[in-house]
Amino acid sequence: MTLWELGKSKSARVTQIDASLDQQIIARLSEMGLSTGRDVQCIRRGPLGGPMVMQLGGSVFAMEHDLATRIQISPTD
Amino acid sequence: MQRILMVGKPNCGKSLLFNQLTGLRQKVANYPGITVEITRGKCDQFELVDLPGAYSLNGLTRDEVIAVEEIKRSVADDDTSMVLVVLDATRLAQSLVMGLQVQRLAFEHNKPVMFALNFIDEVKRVGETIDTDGLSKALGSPVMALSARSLDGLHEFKQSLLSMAGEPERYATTNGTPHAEAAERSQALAEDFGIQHDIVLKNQNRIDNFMLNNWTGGLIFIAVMFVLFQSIFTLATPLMDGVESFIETLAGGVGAVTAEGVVHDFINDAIFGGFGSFLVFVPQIMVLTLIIGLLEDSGYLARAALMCHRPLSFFGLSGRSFIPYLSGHACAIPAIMAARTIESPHKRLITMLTIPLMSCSARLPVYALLVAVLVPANETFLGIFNMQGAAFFGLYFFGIFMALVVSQILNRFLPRDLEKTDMPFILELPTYRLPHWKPLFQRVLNSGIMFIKRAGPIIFMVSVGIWILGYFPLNSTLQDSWLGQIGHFIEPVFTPMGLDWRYGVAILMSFLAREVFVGALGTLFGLEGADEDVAGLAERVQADGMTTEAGLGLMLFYVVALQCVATVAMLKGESGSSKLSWGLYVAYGLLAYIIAVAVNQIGGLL
Repeated sequence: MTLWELGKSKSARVTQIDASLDQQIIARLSEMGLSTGRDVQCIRRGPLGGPMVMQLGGSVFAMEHDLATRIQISPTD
Repeated sequence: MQRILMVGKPNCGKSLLFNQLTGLRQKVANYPGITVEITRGKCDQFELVDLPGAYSLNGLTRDEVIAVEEIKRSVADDDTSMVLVVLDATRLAQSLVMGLQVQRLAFEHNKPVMFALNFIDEVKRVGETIDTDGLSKALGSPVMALSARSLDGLHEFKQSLLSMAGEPERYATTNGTPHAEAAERSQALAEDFGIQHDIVLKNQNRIDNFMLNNWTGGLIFIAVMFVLFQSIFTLATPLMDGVESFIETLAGGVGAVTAEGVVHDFINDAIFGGFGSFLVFVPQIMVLTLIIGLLEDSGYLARAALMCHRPLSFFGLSGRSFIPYLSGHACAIPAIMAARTIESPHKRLITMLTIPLMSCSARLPVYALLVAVLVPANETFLGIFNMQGAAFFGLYFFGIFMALVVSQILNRFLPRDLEKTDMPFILELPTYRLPHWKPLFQRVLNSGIMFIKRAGPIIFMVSVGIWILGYFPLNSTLQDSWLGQIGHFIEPVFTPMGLDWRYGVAILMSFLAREVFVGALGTLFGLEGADEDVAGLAERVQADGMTTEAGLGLMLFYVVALQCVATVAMLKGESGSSKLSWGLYVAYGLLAYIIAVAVNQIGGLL
């Protein structure tokens, strides 16, 4: 499933990041702590398709729909 | 002078630390606000340079790119003795990415690095500790824990900092981590030495349950915007009155000692009138800077940007456009600069081009005059809302509405550079903190000083120019003065707007700087010192018989028209295109004209 589909307060592990994404974006995601094998938790989902809030790498981020749908995860709880 | 470079990720408390180290010995930043510019100050005998925050040396947004360019340039420079990396103790993994990259860069140029582990007070508050010695060994550079806020560890830190800056050769430079491994290694180091993040993040997530909730979040947002808007009037007005009376007294004092005649009039009306016409805005700009600064430093603005992202995206903007739009209500110039944080070049351009539609402080006197003329005072709308207040709100709202409409149009028609990928919206939500007065005070002060330095000279010169044109030839009536002659010549342009030559001249003059409209109109109505006597001028305009539709058209004209040469210059600098900036100046002027004529003509038919 994609990161965008992760439910509120649920945790998951990143399995794949869309390779067709710009190299710079992938590098930035990795710097944020979002790379394959890393854990991510959904703090809250955005209302009406707005950015979702997630916790990863010890920080809290908001990420928009278009990017979150290109990250594959597998739920861990 | 030897230089200490200060870097770190955004929200690491760098600004406060910079303030604590330099005190008031800072050079006024060009445009205060979120640090999108480089600030320089003195720490003992060293120059301390604060660079904009960046998450990594792979800069994505324009402000990061600028910061990275400056970091690379400065590290290579001989005058730079060392680099100070500020880490956020509550976000170690995130801080170390940039930290490791910079350490590596410093190594390549043989400069030592010191790490300042900031926010140690917050770590202690949750009962945790950080093994700074262990981290220091692992990093190969000194790590000092401190709190810029509570001053914990600050004294020892400063000593060590000055010691390293004074004798950089004595300190080893570690070969650091290759760039490609920085992300991986920072996670590993954070796991070994960092604190358990859940403890720290639990609180902010709890508060966010309110702030980001559909209902309570929306209400809080509206309440915050309301307070901001109210502050423009309640807080700023007494201050503005204060400035006005101060100038009046001063002018009166000087006027009393000069003899009647040209010199007396020149000093009284041109010089003091000229000063008055721009000094009076400084309180409002400072009050807005204060409130926006409070919202930003507390961490709330990130939440607001997040909530606005989806609605703003519909218009071709980003959630990050919210902050520049907000500060555009004080002055467009720092707002255009703040747009550097927008992740997408396309959205950044659209934001910059529509910021001038936000009702800045300079429009307020024009609004005040026209509202006084057209809207009866002390009357209420639906029994609760003061009609004049509602009229102001309507004008501000019209500006925002036009900005969104124009944004959507630009979004469709502006050529998109398909080579460059659009960066996605990723926003960090920082810890909620109580804003510290020092950096806030510095920014508020800067905003006033910078406005005076930037806008002051232009406005002053235009005011004096108008005075001269209206005064000469000597002893002629206003109609026959040079100003009058120009006015009659251009009158046909303004007739469709329902206005005569006097308004025409005032409007024309205000295309250089809109602030001069009220003073110019006052001169043209034969009133001295109109800036201080808006009520008096309003009465004259009313008595003169300005129709409602002409007045409304004029008000809307001022909402839309870009009448600020300083803004055009800024746009040119930030967009790199002279054609675009001057084109916008003409386009908004024409748009304003069309709207005003339409309103006047249609209104006249009703």
